[in-house]
Amino acid sequence: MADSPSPTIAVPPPTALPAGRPAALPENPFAEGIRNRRVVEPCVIVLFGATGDLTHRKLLPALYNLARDGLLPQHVAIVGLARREKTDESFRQDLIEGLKRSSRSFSEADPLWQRFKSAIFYHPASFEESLGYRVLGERLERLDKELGTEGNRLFYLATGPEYFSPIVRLLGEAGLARPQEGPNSGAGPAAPAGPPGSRKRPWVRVVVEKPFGRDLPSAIGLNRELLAVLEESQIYRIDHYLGKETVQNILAFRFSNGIFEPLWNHKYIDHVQITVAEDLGVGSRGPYYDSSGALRDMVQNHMLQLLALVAMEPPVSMEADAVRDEKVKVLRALRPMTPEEVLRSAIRGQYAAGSILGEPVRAYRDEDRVPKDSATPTYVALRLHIDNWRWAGVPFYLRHGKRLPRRATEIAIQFHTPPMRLFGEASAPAASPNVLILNIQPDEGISLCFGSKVPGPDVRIRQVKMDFRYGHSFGVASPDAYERLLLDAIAGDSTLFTRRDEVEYAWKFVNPLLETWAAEGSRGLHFYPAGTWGPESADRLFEGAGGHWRRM
Amino acid sequence: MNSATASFLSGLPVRVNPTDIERELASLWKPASEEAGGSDAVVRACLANLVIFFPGPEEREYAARILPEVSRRHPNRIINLLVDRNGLPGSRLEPAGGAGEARSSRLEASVTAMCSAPAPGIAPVCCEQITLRARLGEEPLLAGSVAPLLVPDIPVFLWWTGDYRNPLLPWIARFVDRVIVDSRNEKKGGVILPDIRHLSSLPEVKEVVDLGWRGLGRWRQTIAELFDDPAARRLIPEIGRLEVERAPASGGAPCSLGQSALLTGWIASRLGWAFAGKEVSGEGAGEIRTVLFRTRDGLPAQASLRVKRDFPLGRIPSGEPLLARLSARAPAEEAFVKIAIDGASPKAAKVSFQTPSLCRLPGVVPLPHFSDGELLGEILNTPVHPFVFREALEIAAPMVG
Ligand SMILES: NC(=O)c1ccc[n+]([C@@H]2O[C@H](COP(=O)([O-])OP(=O)(O)OC[C@H]3O[C@@H](n4cnc5c(N)ncnc54)[C@H](OP(=O)(O)O)[C@@H]3O)[C@@H](O)[C@H]2O)c1
Repeated sequence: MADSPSPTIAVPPPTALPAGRPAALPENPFAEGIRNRRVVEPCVIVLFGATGDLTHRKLLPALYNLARDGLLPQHVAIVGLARREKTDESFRQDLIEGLKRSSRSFSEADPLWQRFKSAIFYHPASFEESLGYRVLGERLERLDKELGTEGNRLFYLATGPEYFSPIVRLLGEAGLARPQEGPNSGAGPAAPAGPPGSRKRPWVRVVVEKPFGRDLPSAIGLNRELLAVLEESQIYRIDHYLGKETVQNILAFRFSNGIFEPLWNHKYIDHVQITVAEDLGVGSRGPYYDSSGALRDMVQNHMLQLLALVAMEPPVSMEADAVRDEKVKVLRALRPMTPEEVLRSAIRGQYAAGSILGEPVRAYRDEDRVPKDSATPTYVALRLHIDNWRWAGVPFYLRHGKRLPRRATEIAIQFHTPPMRLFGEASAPAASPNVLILNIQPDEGISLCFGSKVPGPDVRIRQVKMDFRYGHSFGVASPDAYERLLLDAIAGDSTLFTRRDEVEYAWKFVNPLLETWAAEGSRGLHFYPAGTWGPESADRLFEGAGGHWRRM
Repeated sequence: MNSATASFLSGLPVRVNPTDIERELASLWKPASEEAGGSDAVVRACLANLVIFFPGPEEREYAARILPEVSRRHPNRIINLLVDRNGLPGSRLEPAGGAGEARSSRLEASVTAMCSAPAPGIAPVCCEQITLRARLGEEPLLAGSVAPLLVPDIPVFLWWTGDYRNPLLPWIARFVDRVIVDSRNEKKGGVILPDIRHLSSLPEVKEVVDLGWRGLGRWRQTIAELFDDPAARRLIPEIGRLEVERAPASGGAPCSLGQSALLTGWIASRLGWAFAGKEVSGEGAGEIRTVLFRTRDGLPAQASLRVKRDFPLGRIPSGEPLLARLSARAPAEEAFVKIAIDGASPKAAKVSFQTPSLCRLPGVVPLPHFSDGELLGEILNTPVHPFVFREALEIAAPMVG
């Protein structure tokens, strides 16, 4: 983080270094053995939508926590951009409330905040006016000189999706979307040219918030518009689920333990259930949610990402493209749904009035600014198949809903039952199969259910559960997903961001569902009382295959 | 829940039979697990075995202060090994209900639980502490008691708070994955790094990890980050001088050299320098230690280590580094990389970097101070790179010895 700006610095006259110096740049000998090392270069972070909810509740607290943990670059500036008139100082002041609420250990008196805020600036401008971008460009160049941010830019689009494309186009027109041509030694005019190798081309990266499109054509269109200005490697599409520790742990669990991977296929696995249950309703987001619905809001992005992580092949390395290549293969292998298949294998529901934890809860159609005849699903259950060697014949069941009895996200891997009942009828209840459960939230952990003999002279088998909870073993709170994702974007690591093809394949799978349901309107929309596990018709998805939704 | 279990869970030591500790522990835990689901339910967790040797009550008190924090971050089975200089004050301990008829043994044993609540409304997470006491002169009996008490299949750490030349140490170390030492702890003679080096050379000792070294983590990371800059890396072959300053102790007393020496040893070893001799001038807090090196190219290089006497007392624990400045040799001696803490904001360091051709604006990086509990928790939680530490130690030990 930058100290208070000191625009000029006395530079001693150049002195020739002794001859015979090796031409090749030496490796960094100090890097050996340093944990969690990532190279974070100086940069300016420009937050579009800086007066909005996301910036105040998530982005600024995440940046502050990163600064506190010493993970931000030494030279960094944060520029907030939105329409409202504000000064640098009033913007800094307005951030304090959000920081108090969301950042661990924030205090206004902390010298860290004093330093951090001196690197925060506000730039009032409209997203749609090109003049603002030119002025922004000039301001960023000044910051480079004052704070040593070296021309590197991270543009974060914390804006409504309708602005993603115009902002990127105008950034391009203002010459801000491409790294500046030519070398940049990073110290501004005060710095004379350094020897070759001490200069690097600056980078420009753009983080794009969700939602990325609202169907396949709009996602393709948005990609096309962004890629007319940017390279794919400059685009960081956020899926904040991927920033969660427990989601990343799916890969660690699968690929750092020898015992699970051999069982991770159709020979041993009967089916997989992925549940994302929310107890909340739509709150004040009624109009937004009504135009989006459960499928777009949760399934197309987060749940298909969970599915891809569970089902993917081991990547050749943990590099961004290696991991994303494998995820894309899963999404490509999803069996497309015909309209008939949609009617058979997908259930949508909407919450009616009910109660949760003793509190009456109103129906979705009675929520603020939601049409009384809305057909928007607040619940989706799907049965889908991955047509590849590993998963042939293994159904994946996905369900997500609002106003379910409690908040829980889990992935349950259900194994086949043993080939014969050695313990006869006595073991009947134990015919319940082994289940491996990856709890994503709120009580992160891993559980395994298996049969065990009940003590006594007779043979009675019952299911027991072996539990591992992160909170019990690691008494350290996980950082917020946005901390991880912002740091990755600054460091240029796109592993946890979705690539163009990933987004498009996910929409390609979801599109027939959207189209079929749009054509059906309210027909086939099942209502469920708030506080229940969704419409009973969702049980129909297990017909013929056996099994049932897990009781959570 | 019976009264023995209640005392055990509340953190009071319950006296047990030293030859039957596992069974007695099981009987104390059982009522707690039977409550599972009820309001008194607790979770018993154990990620590692942490054996701790205390030569006396002072070390014991120090550990007692930091162990709750360690257990919260990293629940372990803790096995305390205590040497009692004043006989065995067994009467201070609560006898376990029904299990207290300790058979006559020359050791004394007690158990207690350490519990912490991860979050409101979540069952407390508990781990167990076993304490074995031996009379002075009978410490060898402790060695044979450790192995049967280790929980299998999880790592074993030995935190040694006594003399590193104690013959008991290699005895116990043979059952152990890592021995934890503290290079900052120099009150007994001021030359602890050679003892740590000796320890790490013993065949029974698989790996030595050092709290002082772990405390240098942010310094090492900051220096490594500075040299990510290609312009700084160009400077590496030219570096010929190193200055390290450390925080003073009160009353002008000499303060631990351990961390400064390790930081110097680390920088020198990373740069490929070999130790070539040392000179000491001045005394106490005014001591200046000049260490001579040879670079890979056979050129001379040197480091100077001193106390920053005008640094405000108490803002940073004495002995912790305050400055590291790496400078080029002539004719480019105005080129340098510097990390410095000033008294006004001791939780951050100013970093500056300048070469003959370029000057980076100074920056500030947080350099938080970690408590000993946090450092120990880190050691238990993360893998180490023993060769980097060993190489630093190889150079640091003769610097202070
Ligand atoms: N909030 C969350 O928790 C959350 C979570 C996940 C994803 N997201 C995504 O993040 C994005 C932002 O969400 P949000 O909740 O922060 O939205 P928000 O509260 O409505 O904020 C929108 C921001 O955009 C600015 N803005 C709007 N039109 C503008 C224009 N024409 N020119 C300049 N500035 C303009 C607004 O500032 P002025 O009014 O001052 O102009 C405001 O700063 C959305 O894509 C959302 O889907 C949000």
